[in-house]
Amino acid sequence: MVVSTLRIRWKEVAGLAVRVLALVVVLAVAGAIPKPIITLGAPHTVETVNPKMGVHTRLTDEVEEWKIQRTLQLVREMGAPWIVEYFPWGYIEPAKGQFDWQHADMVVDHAVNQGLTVVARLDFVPEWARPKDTTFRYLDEEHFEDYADFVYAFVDHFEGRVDYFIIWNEPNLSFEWGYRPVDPEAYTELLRLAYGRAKEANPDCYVLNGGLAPTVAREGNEWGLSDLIFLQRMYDAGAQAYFDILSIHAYGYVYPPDDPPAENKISFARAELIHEVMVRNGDGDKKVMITEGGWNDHPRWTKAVRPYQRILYTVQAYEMAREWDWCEAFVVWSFRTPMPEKNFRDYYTLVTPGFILKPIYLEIQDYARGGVDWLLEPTL
Amino acid sequence: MDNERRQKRWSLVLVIGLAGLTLLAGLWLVRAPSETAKDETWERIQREGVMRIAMDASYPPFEFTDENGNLAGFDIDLARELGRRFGVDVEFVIISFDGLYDALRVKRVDLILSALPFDTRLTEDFTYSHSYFNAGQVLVVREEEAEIAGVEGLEGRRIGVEWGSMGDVEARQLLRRMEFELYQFPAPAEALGALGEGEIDAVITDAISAYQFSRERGGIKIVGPPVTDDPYVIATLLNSFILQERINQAILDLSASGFLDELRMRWF
Repeated sequence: MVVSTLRIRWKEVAGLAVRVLALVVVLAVAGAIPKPIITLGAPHTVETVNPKMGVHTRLTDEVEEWKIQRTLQLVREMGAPWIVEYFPWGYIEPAKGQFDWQHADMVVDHAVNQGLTVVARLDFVPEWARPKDTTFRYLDEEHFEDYADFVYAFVDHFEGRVDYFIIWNEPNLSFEWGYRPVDPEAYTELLRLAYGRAKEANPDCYVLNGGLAPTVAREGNEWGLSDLIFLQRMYDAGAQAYFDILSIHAYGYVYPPDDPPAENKISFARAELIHEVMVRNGDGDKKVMITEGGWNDHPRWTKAVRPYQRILYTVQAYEMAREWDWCEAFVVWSFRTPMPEKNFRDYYTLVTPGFILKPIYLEIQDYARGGVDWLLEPTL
Repeated sequence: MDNERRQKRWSLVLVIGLAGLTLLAGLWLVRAPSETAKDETWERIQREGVMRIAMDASYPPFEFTDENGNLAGFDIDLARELGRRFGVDVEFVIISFDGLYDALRVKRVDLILSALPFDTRLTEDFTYSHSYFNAGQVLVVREEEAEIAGVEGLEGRRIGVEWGSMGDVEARQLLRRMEFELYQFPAPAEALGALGEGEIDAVITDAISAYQFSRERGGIKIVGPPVTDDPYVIATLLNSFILQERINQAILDLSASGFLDELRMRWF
């Protein structure tokens, strides 16, 4: 009987020992699992002949960290010190006061590590801040304070890493204003609130208005309002005190960058007309930042140019921006998208989703490294 | 013994009964959707006699406004043929490309026919038809060329592309695994012209440029499978299943009858 009991206990002890050993092995294996292979690495700086070069990176929907890092490395290697990146309010604050900074931190940390200056575009209304069945561009005045609170939180969170903030996007287009008639005065109120909260979080930050879309739409147009008129109405509503740099979009469509601007024409040099509005309103000392712009080389879109023209025009536009003393930077739309867009928008990019460098990337890189043969058109 | 026989009989009845129920359920599953589900889009088209088609008319030669201010192009003719086959008029709703899918989503239109590329990301929201045209990159050689039958035959040859184009991108990718001389031109027509003159041996360009050059000047041919694919399709809502079925059948018929080739010859 005694022997039997001892035998049972011995078996229990042996079983326990085996389980402990197994646990130790599991923990040892877990401890030996390699740490994440993506690290920031040593900090870099951008080398370029033109410090006003920028590109829109569009990493919002890029999930994999190595792709984010690779994108930003390529931007640096191309020679563009500026990036504009989109940080959707609805992604970061899914419920009032609850913030998820993980992805935004990842993008910003890699960008800063590559020596890039980040300009953060802030919009995209979360569902909790808008009525049901409205688009993510719809923000009524009742929720302006919520947006301003988000701006405060964002500026505060990224103090020391991000200094430039764009308040909304293309507010002179109905689509970007929630499919409502555009409203320069209401937008100015939104800008006033956001500006105050941004400065509260970081008095040294730069606040940019939502980049104005180039359009020739007149008053009463269902889809939008001319950027020139919209800006004047912003000034009339007192906007001058609520932005540090004016953000505009400058697309060339079929015109070369130095094509003379006109109110009824959309071209790159339209930026000069915008600057004239600023001067007329006593705001000429402020800088303009072209936070979107460039050319498209879709083979058949009527607003596109040939690929070689896109290369030449883009580099010439970078040169023009360098010569405009009132221009802070020219940010080309766009560097790369995570997935093919499957339409003309793919023909705005410099790098394919699979990281194949398009010829335009290589030519811009050559220009940024001091090459001069970009002025030559191709011949057999 | 009787008890055993009775059990066997009941088992048999049970098996037959279950098989019958399974068969009925299967029949119901197969037949029910077609009897009860409705294609509201198709019903509306039939009721009102008008099919509303969304397009961005800024993509010649597929859809554009001609010198007289009329809509014209490959897709316009295709849309009218679809309307004729369905016995309805067509109404073109001109929308910028960015707004095409939204217009379909909110049912302001019945379908999108606008040189629309197939998009895998949207297949949970929309249904795509069979492709009616592949606008990808192709390999073009002189008509008498007998040795180059595909990109594998480019080794050691002289290849032309439009500088900066997707054909240029593809050629540069090929250069990573084979050797050839790459010549860049300002436009596809100039590359194809150099091909015709014998200055180069092949050109990688988009299918439409190749067809246009072939029609206008001849002397060239497309060889091998497309270098890249860019299929154009027609999009409808997921629940427009009758409309989609009719469109698919029409595309197959139009392809078999040579109508799509005629359109290609007419427009590029």
